[in-house]
Amino acid sequence: MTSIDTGGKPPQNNPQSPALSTEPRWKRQPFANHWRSHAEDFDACKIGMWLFLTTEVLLFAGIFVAYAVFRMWYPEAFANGSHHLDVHWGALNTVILLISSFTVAASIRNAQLNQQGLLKINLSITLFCALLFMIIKFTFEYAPKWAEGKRPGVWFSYPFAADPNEHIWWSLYYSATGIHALHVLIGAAVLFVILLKSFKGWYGPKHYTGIEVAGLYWHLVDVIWIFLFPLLYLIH
Amino acid sequence: MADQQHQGPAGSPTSDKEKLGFDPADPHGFHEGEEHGHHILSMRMLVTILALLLLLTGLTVGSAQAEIVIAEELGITIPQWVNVAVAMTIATIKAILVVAFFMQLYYDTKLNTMILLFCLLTFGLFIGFTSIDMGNRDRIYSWKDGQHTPGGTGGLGLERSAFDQDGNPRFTAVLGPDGEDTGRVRRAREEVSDAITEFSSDPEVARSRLSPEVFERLRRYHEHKKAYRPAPSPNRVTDLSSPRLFAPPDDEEGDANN
Repeated sequence: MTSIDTGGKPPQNNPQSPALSTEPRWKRQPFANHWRSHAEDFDACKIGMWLFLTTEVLLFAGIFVAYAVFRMWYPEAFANGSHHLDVHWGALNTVILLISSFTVAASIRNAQLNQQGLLKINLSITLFCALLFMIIKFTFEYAPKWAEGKRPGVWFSYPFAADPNEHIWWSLYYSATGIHALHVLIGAAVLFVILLKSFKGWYGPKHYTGIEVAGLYWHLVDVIWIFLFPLLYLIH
Repeated sequence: MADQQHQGPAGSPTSDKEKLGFDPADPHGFHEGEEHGHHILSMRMLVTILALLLLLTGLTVGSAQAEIVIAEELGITIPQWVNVAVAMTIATIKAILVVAFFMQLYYDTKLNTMILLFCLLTFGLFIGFTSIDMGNRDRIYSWKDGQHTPGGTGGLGLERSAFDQDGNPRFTAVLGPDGEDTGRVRRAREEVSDAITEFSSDPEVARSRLSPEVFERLRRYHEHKKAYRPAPSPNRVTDLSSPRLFAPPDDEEGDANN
């Protein structure tokens, strides 16, 4: 240990400046002052993330309940509206999200085993999947439908609607998939930061809280899509 | 502490544990033997879970397509609730796989599982009580009938209506505080109105394009209303813009309009 003024704190909580150490960042990563160990810090972060995820689940719960109510009221509108969605794009997007979930889980494993190269590759694949998901969503799903007049609420102008209440279906479709797509974007942004940090050696066996927590968020986005996909595309 | 990297607080090297006979960072031994949060999933496990998830995705898409094919080829219409139940069951299995293994809840502290389960309980209350409300709106107050059309799960086989099979009202119904039926008749009127704008400006033509079901609904409504209607309230507000294409058997409708 070099003699650094730690200001009376335990040395562990004062990482040496990069200039003074050649050790990778994850080895010097401190835990917060109010915890006794890395394990406690890690667990606390994880519990906090789970609590946040419950609020996310309840956000989508509102959409699911709206879906149930409006479907009960206007089953014909939902059946007609659902036929306008292409199952192939929905299924492809499901596969893409599942693969991206797999790569995130694999990247946590890579961090735990200090496989720095694979860690970056897996994170990059995840980001690529997120990009692919958004491209498919906008180019092949939103754009053509919007152009045909299959729009939410008051903007609905599709001339061949078979049911007078079909705009309700489209409102629900756009709000559900739109909020989900927003979550994909946020998750991708967080994972991008994680990827940048991984290039600086932030994550390794001793410290991978960031990947773990971002991964939880990404998996939740996947889980939400797992339910949205059959509800919107499959149940006629 | 089970954490390999743990070092004691300042001034207490790990040898303190041996000297003192207990861990000064964890004197009560709350965390002894805990390995949670540091489970490393094997690659084989991860690939297996992914394969299962993809398989289940194929299965749910296949079952939805099969329903259409069976209906077209064999003429057998599978009840809608079967389709819903199959799709939702597969989705739940997929979600459990992701949560338990990709999110490592299976290896995690039980507290995180409890947090999630409590959240799901809340979700269950939300959707459960809403469903009870929606599914039973017409059972007591017939004037609320028509605020929803039975659907969703196909009513789980129960066709609920304020009217029985012979068209007689099931309950000596309350028609609402102002005696105006707010449900079915309004819906029927909307359909008539939509038919006019969509097909023709001629009421007769529009009527011919509509399903007899709509008119049957209107007829029953008027009969029902005639039998059970309370004295009209002077404060009643009725929708003057609605076209009145259907002449009820005995026209009491609209007396407050004029």
